[in-house]
Amino acid sequence: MSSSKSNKIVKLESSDNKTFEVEEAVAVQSETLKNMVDDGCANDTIPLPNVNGKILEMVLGWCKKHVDETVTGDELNKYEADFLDLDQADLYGLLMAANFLNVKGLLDRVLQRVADMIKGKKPEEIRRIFNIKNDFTPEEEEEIRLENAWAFD
Amino acid sequence: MKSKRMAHDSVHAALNSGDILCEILLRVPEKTLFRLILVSRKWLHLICSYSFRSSYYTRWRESSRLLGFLVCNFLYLGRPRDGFRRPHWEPALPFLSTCKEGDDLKFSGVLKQLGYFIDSSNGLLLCGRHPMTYYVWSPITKQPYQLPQPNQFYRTLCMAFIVEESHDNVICYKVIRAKCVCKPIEVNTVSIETFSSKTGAWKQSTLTYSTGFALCPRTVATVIRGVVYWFAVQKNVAIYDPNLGVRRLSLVKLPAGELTYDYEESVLGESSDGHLQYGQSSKLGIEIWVLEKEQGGNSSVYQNNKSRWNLRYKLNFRVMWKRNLTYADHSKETHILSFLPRNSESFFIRSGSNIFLYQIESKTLDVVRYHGRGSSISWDSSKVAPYFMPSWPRSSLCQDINSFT
Repeated sequence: MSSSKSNKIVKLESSDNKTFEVEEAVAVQSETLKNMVDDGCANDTIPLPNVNGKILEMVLGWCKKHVDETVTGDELNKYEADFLDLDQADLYGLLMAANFLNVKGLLDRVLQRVADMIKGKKPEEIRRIFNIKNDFTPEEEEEIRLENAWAFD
Repeated sequence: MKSKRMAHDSVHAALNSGDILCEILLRVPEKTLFRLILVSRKWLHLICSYSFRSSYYTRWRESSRLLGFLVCNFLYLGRPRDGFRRPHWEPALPFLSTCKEGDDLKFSGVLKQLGYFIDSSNGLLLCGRHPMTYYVWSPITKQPYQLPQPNQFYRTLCMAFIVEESHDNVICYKVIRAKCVCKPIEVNTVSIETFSSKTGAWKQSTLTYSTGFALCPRTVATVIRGVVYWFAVQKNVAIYDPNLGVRRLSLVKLPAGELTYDYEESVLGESSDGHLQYGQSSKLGIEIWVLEKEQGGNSSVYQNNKSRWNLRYKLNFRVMWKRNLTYADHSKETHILSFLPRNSESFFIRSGSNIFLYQIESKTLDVVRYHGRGSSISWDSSKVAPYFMPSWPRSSLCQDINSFT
């Protein structure tokens, strides 16, 4: 049962001081962590001040699932679909974390999820969902609509 | 309450990162995306930027919308001959509008100021009166710009209109006039004059080929990514790449065709995958080929015996009308009219004064309804070309968008 894989453990600490220990193979799903490992900076606990414990646990769960060879293709698909069934706070936290940690597959999925939420919505709805301030004057808005009338039909 | 604030903070964090916002919007389909310019100034500037648009087009297909059809009657070009003079009530530039935006263009009266239609590209119009008066009209400035008078006199000529948009959203263009000769066998050069919007001046040069040839008069080139494709006599296509810096032409023989051996109409266009496509129609039907480049060669250098025409589609009119009985009118001949920009999936055909869009996959015809006196157009002696406007939002609030040289 000896494996040629390194059994090295990577230690991570979230912004709210929770520690996580994962196998190197799991950790290097994150390009950011992989670079640290390759540069020899992963020997001590790596602090992640911009990722909280809850989100970090999710990300590591994702990474673990993708390294697990016993998981079938179908199981993985279902896992990924269920994974993104989150409330907004978690979704954006996940987005920031996946971006910072550069976990490509996860980042792509989350970006697509947010894009799907935007699809079909009007500007007013978007502003409400994302809490964005409308910084156009009514005259400016009218001008933009006129200049691009074909897009607003 | 704390979780709600966290949600808002996260959202702000996520969306304030320009990279993340960009990555999200790159995944949003056009129909929604274009309206998002109204969300905020940041979203407007991002979406309207050249860099975002370029990235978007690496993932999605470029789209454009049809405004209508521009008409040029060849009989009126050149000096009046055989009594062919345009009646004063007939416009020099007839326009068959297919939508409200087209109607607005027509009613603006600008088309009356431009002379005869020559070509359109990326929404810009090239018009004028041969051999000396030329105008370029831009939908952004909505003003015609008269080119300085050319220096070379060419009694008969053909043209090319190359429009490019550079990294800072500046539109620049070139207009090429090329001399057409009557005795092709004797001459292996062609004199051309190129106007560049960057220099504001005409420059003469001479293109050569290995043997005698001549370009077909009164035609306009098809331009694909800056490479110019002209019809040449004896069923050839002449290819000129101004960016190569070499003043040489390539010549490729056009395919013969079976169904359309005795073709009456022939058109060039660009396929969905960026190749030259060629279509011809006879009384029996239409055949369409695509020019496949030789492997490994310079992208625009074609060796006649190495490049291949790939027959992509064959359409039998009898079969087509049988499938589309509602529109069939056997008293009128059917012709291929034009390709669509960067599109291999459909093309325009004409039957009498009716224009249809033929969809290759579903084999169906869609009527293209237009305003305008189609019945007064001499279809057989006119070039009727679709006028497509690139679909991407623009705003005067984004200062750089208005740059136009």
